[in-house]
Amino acid sequence: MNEKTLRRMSADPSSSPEQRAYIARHLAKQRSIRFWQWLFLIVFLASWEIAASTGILNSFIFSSPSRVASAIADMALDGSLFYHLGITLAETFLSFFLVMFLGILCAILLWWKDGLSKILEPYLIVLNSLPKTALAPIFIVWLGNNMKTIIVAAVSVAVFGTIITLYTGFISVEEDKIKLIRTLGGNRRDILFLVVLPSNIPAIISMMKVNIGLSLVGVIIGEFLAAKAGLGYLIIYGSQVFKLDWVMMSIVILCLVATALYQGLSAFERRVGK
Amino acid sequence: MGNLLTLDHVSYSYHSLEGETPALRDVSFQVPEGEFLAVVGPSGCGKSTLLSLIAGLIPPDAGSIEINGRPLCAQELHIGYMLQKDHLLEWRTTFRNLSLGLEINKQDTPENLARIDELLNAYGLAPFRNAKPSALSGGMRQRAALIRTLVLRPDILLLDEPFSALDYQTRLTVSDDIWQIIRKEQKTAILITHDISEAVSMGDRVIVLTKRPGTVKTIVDIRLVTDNRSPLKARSDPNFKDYFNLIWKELTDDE
Repeated sequence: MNEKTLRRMSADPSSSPEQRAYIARHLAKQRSIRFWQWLFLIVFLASWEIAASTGILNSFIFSSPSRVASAIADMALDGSLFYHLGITLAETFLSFFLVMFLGILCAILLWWKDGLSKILEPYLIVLNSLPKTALAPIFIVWLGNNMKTIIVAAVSVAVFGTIITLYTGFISVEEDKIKLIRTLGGNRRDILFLVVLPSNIPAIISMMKVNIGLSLVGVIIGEFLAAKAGLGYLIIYGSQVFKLDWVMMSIVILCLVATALYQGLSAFERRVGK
Repeated sequence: MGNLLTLDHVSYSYHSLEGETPALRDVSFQVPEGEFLAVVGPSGCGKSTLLSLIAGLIPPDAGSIEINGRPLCAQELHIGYMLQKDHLLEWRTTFRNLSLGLEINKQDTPENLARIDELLNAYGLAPFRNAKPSALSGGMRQRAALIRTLVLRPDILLLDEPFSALDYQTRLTVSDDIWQIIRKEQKTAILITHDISEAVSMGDRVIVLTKRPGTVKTIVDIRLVTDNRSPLKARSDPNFKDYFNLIWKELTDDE
């Protein structure tokens, strides 16, 4: 509940004084949490700024909030910030959709052909446990120093875990629900579309929440290695030419982007869940 | 009235790496049209296997099952199956749960869909037509599950301990309820249960199965003196206790 409704409830004359006091206490607790959250951020930024300006921290290496802010302003004005942000976002979304599409498709295939899943199981486990960053250099050699490498790297980070998790969800559908469809005359396709997929929608959405973050990780790793644009490129380029303002700025932007993407999917989850 | 269902020396075994487990051996009985047959037996005697066989979900190892004098064919749907739990799908409304069978069999014609509304009205579920199953009480859920099978106009209803997940009080009212609906729709039904009083109160006949491998031990005709019997009234019938004791003895005396 937001603060406005709570404030209205705490003054609602139709509820008992005890209830109003309870709401007021709840409201006070919420405010104090919010206060400490802001205080934490302000103290952190202020001490960083002061330390940088008094020379305790070398602002050339550690940058400072004001330098990050002016870097954001400069790059926003000449549009390059949106260019790099746009590239990273586009790559992230593309990888995310590929991961979800391939993940669901492969999980369905494994569910459909029991033998196939038994055969592929060890390979999936190996691929899932392998640190995918180890593959990135190979992708560069195979696919070139371009966006293809970034997308493939990002997809490889998330897709195997997705397949395994979704497949596990698919096979743990209640046996009796499958029996129900069979007694109503349904075949394997009916079982898939009427029971297995619908009952796994919560699992698919929570997989989406994990994968949007993993896709971003994969894209940044990809951009470190093979890119001419994007936030990952800005970070690696900035650190090579000692423009730490750019590096810090990109990290700040990444924090915001990652949070926004996650919140977007949470909102989607609430809407579907209703 | 002829025999709707005939089982002739039916046997079935389960296979696993640990070995073979015979579930049913040489089971034979007939079910005339319109009868309410109850099957009781000790747990693990293959009662559910029996229903799976009649439903055509698994083929018998030996023997034959005939419906209306013709061998059972999985493609044709003669059977309505009610499972232990109602298994209404939470993501569908009540109406869309009831139309599930029609959708699967591509029979979702306006007439058939209209029949769902008729049944919803007749059995007090109309206010919940567009509600999710979570809004229904335990009894209403079982009624919905029964209607889901009735919509497909099956020849025989198979009830696999459909009340065992309910608490005792609900169980009595719901079994009364379900029994009335089945009588009203003039359906032939086979009820599997481990509850002797449920079997006596609902069944026209009770088949007693032996321990695994299950085979027909005895068949008891239930003749009650109460007029307009219903499962609840049957429980206070003077003959009720005798049948209960008779079946109890049959169930326990092979130990």
